[in-house]
Amino acid sequence: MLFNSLDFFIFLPIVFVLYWFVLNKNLKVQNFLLLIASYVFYGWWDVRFLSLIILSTIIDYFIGIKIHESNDETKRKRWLRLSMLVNLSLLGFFKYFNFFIDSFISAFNSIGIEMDTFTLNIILPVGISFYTFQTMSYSLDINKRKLVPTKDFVAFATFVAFFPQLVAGPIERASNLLPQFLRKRKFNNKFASDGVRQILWGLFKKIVVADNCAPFVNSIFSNYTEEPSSMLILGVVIFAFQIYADFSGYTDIAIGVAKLFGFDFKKNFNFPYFSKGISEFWKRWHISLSSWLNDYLFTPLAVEFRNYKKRGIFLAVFLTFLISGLWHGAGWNFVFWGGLHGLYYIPVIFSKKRFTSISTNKGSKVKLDFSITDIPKMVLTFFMVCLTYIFFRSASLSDAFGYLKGIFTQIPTFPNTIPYELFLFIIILMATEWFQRNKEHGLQFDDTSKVRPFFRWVIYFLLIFAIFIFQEEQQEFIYFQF
Amino acid sequence: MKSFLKKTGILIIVFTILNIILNYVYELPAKKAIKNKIHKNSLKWNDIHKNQNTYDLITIGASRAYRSFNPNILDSKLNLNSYNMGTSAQDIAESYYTLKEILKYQKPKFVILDLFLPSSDDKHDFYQIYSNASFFSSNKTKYNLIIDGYGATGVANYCIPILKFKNYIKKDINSFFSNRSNSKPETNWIKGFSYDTITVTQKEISNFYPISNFENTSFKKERFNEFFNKIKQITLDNNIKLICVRTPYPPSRLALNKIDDENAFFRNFTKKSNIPYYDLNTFENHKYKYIDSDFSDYHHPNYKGAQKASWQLIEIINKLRK
Repeated sequence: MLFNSLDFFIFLPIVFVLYWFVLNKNLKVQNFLLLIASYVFYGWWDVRFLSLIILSTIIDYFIGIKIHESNDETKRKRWLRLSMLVNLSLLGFFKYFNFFIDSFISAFNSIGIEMDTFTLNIILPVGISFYTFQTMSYSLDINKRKLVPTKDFVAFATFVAFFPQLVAGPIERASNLLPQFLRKRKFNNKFASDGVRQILWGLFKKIVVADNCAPFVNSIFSNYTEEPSSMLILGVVIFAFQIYADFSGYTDIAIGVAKLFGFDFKKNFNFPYFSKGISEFWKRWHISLSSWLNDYLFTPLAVEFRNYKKRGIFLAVFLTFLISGLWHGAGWNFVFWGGLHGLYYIPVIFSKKRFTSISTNKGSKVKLDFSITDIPKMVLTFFMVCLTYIFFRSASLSDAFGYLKGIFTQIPTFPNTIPYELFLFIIILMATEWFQRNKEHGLQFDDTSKVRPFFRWVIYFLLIFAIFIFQEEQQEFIYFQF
Repeated sequence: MKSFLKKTGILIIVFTILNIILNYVYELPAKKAIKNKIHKNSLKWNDIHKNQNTYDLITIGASRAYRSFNPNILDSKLNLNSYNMGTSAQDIAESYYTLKEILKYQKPKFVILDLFLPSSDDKHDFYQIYSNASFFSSNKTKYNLIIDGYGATGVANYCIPILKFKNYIKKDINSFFSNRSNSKPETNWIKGFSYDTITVTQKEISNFYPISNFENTSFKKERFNEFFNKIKQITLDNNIKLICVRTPYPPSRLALNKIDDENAFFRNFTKKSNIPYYDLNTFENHKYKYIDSDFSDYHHPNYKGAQKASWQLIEIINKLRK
């Protein structure tokens, strides 16, 4: 079920009441309730999806214990490889089977060897990219002795399937989230109230900003050969705000819902469009994924290539971003998108004295210092990212190049339709996030806030009314397709 | 927890009060219109309920239907007593339940159903839907319209005024920021048919966008199929001749479409269902060639355009009578 749906609007209060009023005396029963609620939430899309997540959960639960119990390094590695094999096989089959087959056939066709097309009608289970990464990090951290596995199966299963973050992240580390399932949660009024505000802000971003940008962006990208270059540029700029509002909006709702149940998730977006360079951008954008890739892919690769010094680091960065692209979608346009981001790191790696990481979990805490001279850097970074979005949003690599070509070759007339309403929504979004740039989210108010309670309530009601009035045709969250 | 629940309670209460105020403000013009006997839907249903078994030909569909067929012209040439029961933003589910309600009071020989792709898409003007349904005498039909026609979304829109009136609130907000006035042009009325004499301007023509197609409309084929078959069945059960039409578009707008998905779909669909279908954009177009000035906006005929559409319908019915 979607967060912005009537089903969820009914589901959430039921679970909330049962959690805090009926089953709050017993931690195990409370966790069991969350597990059942999470399976109901996930099964709402397709009950068949549950078999995969349960399989992944059972396998990683037992493998985690086996890795921890074994003192023999070879045996530990064998168990770890089994965990990786199962999770990556699930991901590989359901997400990439048809892509690899198509690419394989195209490659042979291009050298004159004709092959019959063979694809399977495979449904992509929602959230598979997220929960497989979450369970893999559990096994990897146990192997590195950073984490002790839990023997509480229900707590572990709930950690894997916890509904606020199951389908589109944030990808939580076991070291942060699992202990929260193992200790009693106490209701905290300020924490829960902040959660409600964060949900409200997330719904505003998703429903008012992202869903209203979608029809405009869709019409530009689906008819790009007939649009003037000004509209093509406008299309990709509006998409930049659409994807940010959509994904960060979802994350805000996920984090806010978790707060209602007493759980603290890590921040996933730290106002990335105010970044002054690509390196800072990736410390602020989808922090849970970029830090995951940093810790489990970039760092081992950088160690492996250490003999090549800066060239080795660049290779590690480039490969990490190629994999990041592939993670986002089974398509060469996504791989190209990732590769382009990797290339952006060339000046960063070769000019800096020491390049250590793409992103860390601490990125969520990086404060935003600002001076007027930073504006050109912010604008340049934004447009560099927009260029990559052409590849991210286009249906294929050839469409992306066609779109890019159109920007430089199609008639540069003044845009024939200017979405003033969208500009207003985007200005409200960015202005709010600018003024709140050193807070956890756009609607966080604390005791030191200068906004008086009465005006805060006016803001809440204006946002609620905007959500109801400006909701358009319901759009699926963009990151659900990943 | 008490403080949290108290704040949640205040939120719900204030939200409810604001919705009650909104409901009062936005229903007031309708209530005044009903009292002054100028509310179109009220007048239509009054005629249907009071003049039982009177009308031989009934038109159903959205505003394109009630702006296209002039009962005075139809009656004079067909020797029938016709009535135009098209209502604003009527979609296929609403058409079915409207017809169901009509057939409790009327025994028409012909039902004309106007089709276009938005008649079964994701966008619904719930205020217009419920405004029409509020005049049904049968609460069961009204209930079924809400539940079967629109599901949980329908219930939410029925119960929450800010959802029901959101299109009108948006228009009011837009008019606050623009110079355009919110007032409607003067329209005239004949047995459900509403017409004006306005002609679409060159500026409006230059801003035309393509008509609905499968790319720009989220057409729900299964939903359309379900309710179309119900309409077909209810007309068969009552020995009524069902005729499907697609009312005309300004030719400049029609020319923007490379492929006419809409016409192709309805032509094939009605052929499979064995129901006659006529596209008024092309039917006998050597006699009834439409020009842009036959329209008052991007898809509603004005009085001149409605004359042509009415004459086309007369020829269709005469053809079918043979």
